[in-house]
Amino acid sequence: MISFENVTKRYGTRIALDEVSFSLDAGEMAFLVGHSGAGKSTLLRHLVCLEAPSEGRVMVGNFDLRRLSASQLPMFRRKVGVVFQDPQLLPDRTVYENVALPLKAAGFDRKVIPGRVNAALEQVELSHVVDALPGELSSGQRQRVGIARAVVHKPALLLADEPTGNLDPELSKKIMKLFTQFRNHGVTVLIATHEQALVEAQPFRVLRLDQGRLVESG
Amino acid sequence: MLGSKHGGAIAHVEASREAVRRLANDPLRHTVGVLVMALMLALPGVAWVALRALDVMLPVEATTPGVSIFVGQDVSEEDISALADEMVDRSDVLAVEIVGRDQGLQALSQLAGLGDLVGAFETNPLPDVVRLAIDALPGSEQMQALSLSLESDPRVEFVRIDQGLSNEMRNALVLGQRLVLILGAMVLAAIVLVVTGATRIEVTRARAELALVDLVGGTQRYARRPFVYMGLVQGLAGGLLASAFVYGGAILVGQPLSRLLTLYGESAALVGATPVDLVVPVVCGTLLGGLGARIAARLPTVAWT
Repeated sequence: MISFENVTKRYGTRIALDEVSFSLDAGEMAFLVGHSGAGKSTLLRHLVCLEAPSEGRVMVGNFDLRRLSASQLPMFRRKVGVVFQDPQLLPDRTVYENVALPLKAAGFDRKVIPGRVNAALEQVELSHVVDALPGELSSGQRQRVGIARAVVHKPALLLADEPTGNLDPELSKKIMKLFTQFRNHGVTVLIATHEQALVEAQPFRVLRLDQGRLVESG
Repeated sequence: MLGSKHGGAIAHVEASREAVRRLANDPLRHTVGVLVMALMLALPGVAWVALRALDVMLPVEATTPGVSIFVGQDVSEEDISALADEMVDRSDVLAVEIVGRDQGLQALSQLAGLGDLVGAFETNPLPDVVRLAIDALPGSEQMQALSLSLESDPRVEFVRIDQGLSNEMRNALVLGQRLVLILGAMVLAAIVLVVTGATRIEVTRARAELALVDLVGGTQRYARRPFVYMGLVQGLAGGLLASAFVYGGAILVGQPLSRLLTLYGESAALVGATPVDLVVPVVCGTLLGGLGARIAARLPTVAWT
């Protein structure tokens, strides 16, 4: 599903990723760990084409990300879901409208959208706040809305950048349980985190970055 | 699952709704924008209609170069007719009209304020006049030669070359119309810039949202469309309002113009705005609004990259 082949990313003289190579199979779940500044976010940004490698190749499915044309890029991104540490919800839109955004952007049939949105909100147990604005929700609820938005279009790949960074341990466990459920449904999941305890509590593969180098991929 | 043949139409409906939603989010700012656009569009429109009204109301014979031949008091009607016939035969004379002394006195008495004065005359002091429309410029050698030849005619008392106020007004009108066209072109360019600026502010405000749309697989066209529709809606509203201003302005300007020309004894039919005058601001406003918004939406945004 994901393949990094000797990927190096430089910003001027600074090296953010240094000859990183690894692969993830379809339906696999893995953690991307490392200290702040280790290159976790940079690696994730490569997977949604927000960055291009200075050297090497990134493959997602059959897409060679360096060769994507401008017209192919939206099509590719519709196969990926992204969860941020700050869920980045639109404050003037309801929960429903926030979750429906990827479906509308992708041109889904209007008749399909309500069912998909409600199903996604059910998965994250937020059906009761469908008409609420983000400002009316707790931080845990907002994060789950962000997750619902990331999975509503049934992506093949789910990326999460510090998804539990702002949450208490109990809520973090709930969120991890959700990611595991998605993985059980065949979604490839890659979670960037610096919370060692969270990683140790899960039986999944760990990719460890240290100053841009992949030092563990087992 | 993805929108098929109806998907395109649905996308446009969604974009229209989104545009209206954005407009409704800041009604005061957008209303002011529409008013500014309407005033800008109406300004050359009203000026154009007023100039055209003036143009239409100026009598054609008054602006065609001519010669008035004042015939002697003792010249018989037969001689006057003979003189007129001689003039008709000239190749440089376009038209000949005999204005009898009674007809002249009647016209004089109809001029505002002169009725009492005319009534004071015991006999008609006015001469008969033969008016010629000439195919030549007022100051030309041809006109001077004609004038000289007529003055030597014993039947003629006095010759006057008509090149007065109306002709000067005609030239002033042409100048005015050109100035209005230049003003119009500048206003159209200004409207595009105003809409571009206003839409750009809207795009910048929505930067985070646009970044999100980009990340979830929305195309740039999808992201831009609501902003272009905003410009179209604002342009349409501004154009409709401008149209109303032009209509009202034509009435306000037309009435005093009619009265002014009545004072000069001219026919003063009220000239208002035509359907074209009312449609042009609407079409221009809509197109320029759309163009300005399109330019703004196509400018690179940090979030979109």
